[in-house]
Amino acid sequence: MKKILVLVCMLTAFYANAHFQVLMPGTDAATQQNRNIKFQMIFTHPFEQGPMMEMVKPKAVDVYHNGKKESLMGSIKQVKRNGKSTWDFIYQMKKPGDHIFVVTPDYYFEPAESTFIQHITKTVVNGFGMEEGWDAPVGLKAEIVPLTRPYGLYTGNVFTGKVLYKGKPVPGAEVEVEFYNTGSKIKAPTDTHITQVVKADGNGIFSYVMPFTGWWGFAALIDDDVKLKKDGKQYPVELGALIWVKTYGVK
Amino acid sequence: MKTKIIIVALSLLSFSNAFAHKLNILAFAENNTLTINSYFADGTPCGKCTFQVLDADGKVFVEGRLDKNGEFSKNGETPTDMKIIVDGGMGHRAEQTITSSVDTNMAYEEPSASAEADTTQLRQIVREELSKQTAELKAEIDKGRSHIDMIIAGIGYILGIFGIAVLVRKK
Repeated sequence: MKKILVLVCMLTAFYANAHFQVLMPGTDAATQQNRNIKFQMIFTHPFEQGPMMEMVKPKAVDVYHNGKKESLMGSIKQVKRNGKSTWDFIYQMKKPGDHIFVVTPDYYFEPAESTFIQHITKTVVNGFGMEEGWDAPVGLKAEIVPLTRPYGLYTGNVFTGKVLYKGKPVPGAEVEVEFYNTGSKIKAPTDTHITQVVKADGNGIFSYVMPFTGWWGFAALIDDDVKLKKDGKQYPVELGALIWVKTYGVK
Repeated sequence: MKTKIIIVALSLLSFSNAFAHKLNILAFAENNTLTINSYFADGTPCGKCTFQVLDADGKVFVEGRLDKNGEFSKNGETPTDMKIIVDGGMGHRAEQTITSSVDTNMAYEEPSASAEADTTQLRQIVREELSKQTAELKAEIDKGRSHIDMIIAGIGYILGIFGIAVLVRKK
């Protein structure tokens, strides 16, 4: 009986880990010498580095700069990784100031949870040293507005953000945190270490100290007020407000 | 006296504030046009700041003051390699070097996709773990069965002995 329980637990463990939409640039700060920034968009489990999930063509890919929005849908290219659809694009930065990149993926149906998932994901890249714009809400349906400048961070820095849904703070929002575990160098002592969880306070504000060097994904999960139909049945939508930030270690 | 103190305090404040922001230069030489844009990290332009553009030999190519938006542009041919120096005052000085072939450098970190366990690998791992577990399960069941076997065998022996006993008694 015990053995069977172990088996069941093992199987469910594969579903327990968190899905994350990834929007990862080659750098979080463009310089005059390095201003062609390559972005990778994948839908995966960042800590375990897989399994990867199919990411169909996103609904929108935009960049916000100085309050202006520009669509980048024309420059995205499909790239097959591990047999799954992912998307890349290159952005040439021309102007100083913070550039906020946002991907709005299409809905993903998760049979294990009987829900549709949509992770609206944001990554801020600084342009040529002018540190202006990162703290402004973009006006997304679900959004994490950083209270920590989201670039030029050291390993061990705290990241603080505010969770907004339709422009209003979400008190007590649950935020899942995962490290993009390149090369699976970090081993999780227990399964609960894979996805870190913090809750927002009454004003929708959360904090997390990032212990490793690399990219960190923050996903505030919100039950959306829409339902979607599939095969004649209605399913709820899990809306995610995501942000990715990078930490640097010192030698 | 009071106003003096206030002025000193104000200048001290603005002084420290200016120091917190790094002076930056963004400069390009494209289509025979040299453009320079200089600003502090908080977005304030380096307005009316003096600047110098030096060629590879250190000779002054052009110098002067940026406009109030911290910008300058010049049409015409430019040296291949240039060093731009902007003096923002108060110890703020920035330098930027450019080559006429802007952006030959496409360096970026490719996020590793190869390190990801692919589905076939994952399937393999799951299969191995499962087979280990099922093997143990099977062993457990086998163990269970051997107990039953022994009991049945035991009952068989008992019945057999009784049978023999009965046979012996009848005789």
